[in-house]
Amino acid sequence: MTAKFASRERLWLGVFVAVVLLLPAILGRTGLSRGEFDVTPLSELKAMNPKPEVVLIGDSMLGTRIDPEVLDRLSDAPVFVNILEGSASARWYLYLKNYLAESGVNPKHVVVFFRDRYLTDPVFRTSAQYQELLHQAMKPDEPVVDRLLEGQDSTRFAKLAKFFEWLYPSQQLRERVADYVVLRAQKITDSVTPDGTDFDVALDRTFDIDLLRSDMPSELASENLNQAAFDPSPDKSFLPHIVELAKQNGWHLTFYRVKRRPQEGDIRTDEPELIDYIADLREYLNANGADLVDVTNDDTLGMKFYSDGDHVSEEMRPRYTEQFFERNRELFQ
Amino acid sequence: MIFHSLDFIVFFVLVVAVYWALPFRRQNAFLLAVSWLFYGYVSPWFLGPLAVATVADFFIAKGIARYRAQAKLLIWASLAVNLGMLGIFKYFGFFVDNMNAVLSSVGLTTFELGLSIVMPVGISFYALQSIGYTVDVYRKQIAPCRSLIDYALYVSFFPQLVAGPIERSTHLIPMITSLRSVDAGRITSGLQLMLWGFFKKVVVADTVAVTANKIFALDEPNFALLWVGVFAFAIQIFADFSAYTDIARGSARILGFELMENFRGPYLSQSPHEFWGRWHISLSSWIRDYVYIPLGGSRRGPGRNMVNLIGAFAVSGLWHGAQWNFVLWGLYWSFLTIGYRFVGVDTQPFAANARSIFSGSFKVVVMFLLTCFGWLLFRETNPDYLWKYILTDPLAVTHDQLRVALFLGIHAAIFALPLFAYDVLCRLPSRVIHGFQNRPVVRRGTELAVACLLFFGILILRSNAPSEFIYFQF
Repeated sequence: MTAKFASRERLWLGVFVAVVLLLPAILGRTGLSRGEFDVTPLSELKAMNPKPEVVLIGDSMLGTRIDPEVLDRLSDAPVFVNILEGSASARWYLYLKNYLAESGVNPKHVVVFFRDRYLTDPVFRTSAQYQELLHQAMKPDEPVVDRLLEGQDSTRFAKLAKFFEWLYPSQQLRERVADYVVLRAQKITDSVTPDGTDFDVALDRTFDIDLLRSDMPSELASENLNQAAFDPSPDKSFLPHIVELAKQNGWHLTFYRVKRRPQEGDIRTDEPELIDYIADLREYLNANGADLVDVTNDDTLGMKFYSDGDHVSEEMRPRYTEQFFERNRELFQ
Repeated sequence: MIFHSLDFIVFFVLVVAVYWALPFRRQNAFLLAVSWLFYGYVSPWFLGPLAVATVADFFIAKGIARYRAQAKLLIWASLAVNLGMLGIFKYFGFFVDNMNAVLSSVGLTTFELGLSIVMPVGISFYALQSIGYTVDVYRKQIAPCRSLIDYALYVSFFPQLVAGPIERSTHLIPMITSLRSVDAGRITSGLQLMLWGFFKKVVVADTVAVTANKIFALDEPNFALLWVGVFAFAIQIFADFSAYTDIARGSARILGFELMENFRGPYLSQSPHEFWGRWHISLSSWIRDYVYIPLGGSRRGPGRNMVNLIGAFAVSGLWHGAQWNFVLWGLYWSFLTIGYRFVGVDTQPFAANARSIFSGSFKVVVMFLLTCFGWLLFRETNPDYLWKYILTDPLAVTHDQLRVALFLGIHAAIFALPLFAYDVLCRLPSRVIHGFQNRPVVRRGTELAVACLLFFGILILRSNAPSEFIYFQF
């Protein structure tokens, strides 16, 4: 027996499906659509006086390690520390291309803070809550980003997924709603239990990595990074594009690999595959006129520096900044 | 293939389009083929045990009908096939570990024997469904299937193959063998049910799962935080599992099948007896009909009844997983059921007076707290941690810790609100529901609005941390 409907029923079914599918598409576009290119960072760079000669970029690995005021005081050259929260290689590339290169600032040195394999995992931190930030740094035509992100999407229906993303541009609204729910929950909590430590600080303390069960996976495992061997192919990572940008603009690039949280005592030991990966990365960078600074084996950066996960504690940040400065003094002269 | 994936959406749209274009005779063969595609999508070898169970029980049931004198023997053969596969894939490691524990405790040498095979998803579900069929044929409640295709479809029907509901042969097979029809109302209500399922999974379950997982990852959560974690898990497991059922029922409805209800507002129960009539109904009724009643049920006196209850709940616990905490969880529910009976507390319908509402609500709250304690036993598979959690000092909580726990609890409660609202709406008096259903324009308008709201909710509220359905592991 096949499905048979009266024409009125068929009409109702058509209306039902069409409205359910299209109304959210319209609602998602009402002033809350995909973010436009954000020109603010460009204006800020252009307005800088004096122009920075050293620019540091990175995610919270930079933000929790380097105290801009301390570094500024120590350095002879003007420094700009730009913390791009929740960023990875795609946003670093976009920042360097669409902001730094276009601003005319023209620094002598660009230092990129990174962890392990971040530089060659192009899709890392480009979807879900990171997508909107990425879009804001994108111009209408971004062939490298489009090619790299689409090229890595190996799922069966990648094109259909892209179409749905276009049809339902809800990411920005999604983040607003999520923030709103968190804010409501905080307000209710405040009304019941007023006074107390800042929520973010209290949450970080509660879920500090030291308080986790020993049978729980590490933060790295949960981040689900690509574990492949080093591959500098322009079709597989943003790294060669960043290197090329630096060459074109006359920047000297330094990639600063931070030490992750020590495992035992003050020591952090890499697995053999990662040691090979870092050796290949160093070789590639040196061959292309860039440098790699790797502090993973620096035992002076012991457990006392860390707060949650791989983050350095606020109290130790000035000390870390001084150590960073001493180690890389030649950049700041 | 998992329901909340683009692969499934594409698959389902194509299946529906082709299915309703086919004549009835070809529909079952087509459904069987796509069900096997659905099941073997990621790991085609999963089809092996499914095929073994299907073919074995198809012929065993025929044998039972034909050779009544050997029927008992054949039932044992069916049990051996299905429970044997469960034993190999699910309980073998558990058995070896416990044997070794016993051997080492008496000073004997332990043995290394491990099977490095992945348990096929859904095996616990289709094994019960298959056993149910042969027993039903044995009890003459249904005639054996004539067609292997029809029977294979009964075991493999893709909407409910991986995580239920565990269908009864007397319910599903007649639908398979008879002409099916569908109309616009059934399609829209099926779509609505699917949307509600997707909403519960990607919005509610996956969001509160982050809170539960974070708290259960702590070595020593304080008392307040621990119970917020348990609360979040209670919401997660209900939203997650009932979501699967709703998507299964919704998609089956669009294909002209009406699968059984699996959840009916379980957290509004007033007693353990009522809870098990509302939670995972297809499993609890299966255990009742194929374990508890054959053991004698309540017919052999109160003492034997207690033993039967304990046995049935222990089986239910062990069915969930090869870990002692699941057995403990089952036993906990049996003691709770016996305790409630002993005290004489049972469900009372809410009446329109303050006393009834207060007493009913109080019972619901107490039952929910007891259910949450059960979820702690269920969630924590490590006995050392379980013991540590149970002994957590309720007074050792600082002001800041309390604030964090309260914040996380409120956050989880906000996401639980739609579930609560839905369950309350389902309990509206029947005259209100009928009054609503008798006004087609109002009904259709509301259906459309709810569907839009659900879809929009999925788009803007879905979690950034999607996870698999919890019951896949069972």
